[in-house]
Amino acid sequence: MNRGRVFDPAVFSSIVNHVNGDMSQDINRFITDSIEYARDAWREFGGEERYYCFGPVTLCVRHIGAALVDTVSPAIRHAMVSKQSSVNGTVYALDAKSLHLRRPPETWPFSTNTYQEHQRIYWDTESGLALNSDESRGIWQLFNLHNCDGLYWVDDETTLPSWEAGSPLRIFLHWLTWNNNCQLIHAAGLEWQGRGILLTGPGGSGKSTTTAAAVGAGWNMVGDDFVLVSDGCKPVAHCIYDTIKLTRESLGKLPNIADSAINAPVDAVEKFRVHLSDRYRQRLVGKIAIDTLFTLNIAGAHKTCILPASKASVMAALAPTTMFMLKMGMKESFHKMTGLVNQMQCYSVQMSTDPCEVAASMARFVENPET
Amino acid sequence: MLSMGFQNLEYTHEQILYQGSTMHGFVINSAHVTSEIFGEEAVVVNFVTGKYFAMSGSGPAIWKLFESPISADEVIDEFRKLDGMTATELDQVRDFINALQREKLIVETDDSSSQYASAGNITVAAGGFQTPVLEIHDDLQELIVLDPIHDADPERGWPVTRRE
Repeated sequence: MNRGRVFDPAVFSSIVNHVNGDMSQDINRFITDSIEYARDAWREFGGEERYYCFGPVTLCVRHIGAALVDTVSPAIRHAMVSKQSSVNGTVYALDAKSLHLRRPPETWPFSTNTYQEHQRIYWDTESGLALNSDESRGIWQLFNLHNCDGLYWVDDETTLPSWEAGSPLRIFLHWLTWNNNCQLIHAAGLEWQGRGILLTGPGGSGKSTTTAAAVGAGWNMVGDDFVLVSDGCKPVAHCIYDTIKLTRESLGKLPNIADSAINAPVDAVEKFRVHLSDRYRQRLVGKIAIDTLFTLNIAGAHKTCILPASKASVMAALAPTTMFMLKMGMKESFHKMTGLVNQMQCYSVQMSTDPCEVAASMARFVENPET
Repeated sequence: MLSMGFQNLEYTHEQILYQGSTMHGFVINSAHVTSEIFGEEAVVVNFVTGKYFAMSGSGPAIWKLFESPISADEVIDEFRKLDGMTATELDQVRDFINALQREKLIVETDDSSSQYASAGNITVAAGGFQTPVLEIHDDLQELIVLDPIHDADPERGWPVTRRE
């Protein structure tokens, strides 16, 4: 393979100097050439090929030289399936250091035309090319919407931040689904006696704590942070990640789950991560039909109270946080969520201080919503 | 006034922000804004500033008028035609329009403002005109302003900001 193709510093320099007033052309060429480079590396080195099924989306991940398996697989191993003849997209995972291959750019090699000089999100639906970079940590994610090939390109897997493994490949899933009938949504998905709900709420509202308590009490779960919702006569929430992230304080309220944390946070701000498939495998399900949206509000009351909520208030709790976390395709995401909210029954959960009591109240409500 | 992450604007009888431009047309800033009306409320998101808004009262009815170019004066004229509208209520409409402009939810357009024929274009709740309310939420602004990759703390990750 031509390892020097395109990525010689001299070549990068020529790209930078050849801006010619059209940065898009340079970035587009960089994206297509980089993905082609990864394909060449796969042909030459091989590696591990894994298939994951997230409801209607099947993803093939080609770990070149078996790189990045330990980063990508833990949070999504429950979704692994046997080899598929047809997939929705293929992501090449490339760790430059372990294979002594070309490293991703250390600095942004293109001109910037945004007021935020550090903005590193490129999204061109016309050309079908997308890019998300963190050159300071050596992480680049590139995607071609036309052939649905992507590249997860890191400088050195051993230096990746620990939270990178918390929600791997999320941006690729968003790119794959932005223009179809699926939508990544920032919400928790739970099911009680066949009734599926989505929990939404601002950061710090107790979503993860409530989810963990609910799972401990016997609810099924499809996700704590992000779920993939597919449209239809009845929307369905599909499981992507099996992790729950909890603060130290929340973990203290849930002794049954406390010893399942897989990390040791360095300070009070970092969260503990728990893989549900380690502890509550039977509670992690692949999908649930959903018909109800709960927004969580910390009321601090003695007892939890669940009240009807307007669709507008639930939309305000659900849509902006999803849009701003995904960052790309915001209008499309907003309109998909509009359609979802219009199909749902909407309630506000005024929570007590006891997450187990909140979970029990939600279960009673789901069983008898009229009372 | 800013309280718990959202701001309720107090409508004062202030001077029109854009002197001499009340005849210019304004239209929803669709390049930066997306919105949906749910019954008598609306949710609006400005994905450039990172703010999101909830409208209630007669706010959604005013907002809907800006789907096509229309001047502030024309909007006021349409509400003036409603039975029983007081001067104070018309001031509330004008203040609401000023707030939409301040938040860049509507922008001036070169299109000549359209002539709205009648008050039948306004959809007002059965209870009649109600003070238009614009709730402003800026609690998620950091998600947009904060580059999740470069500004996030290298040890703890986004959304914790990088220490100086």
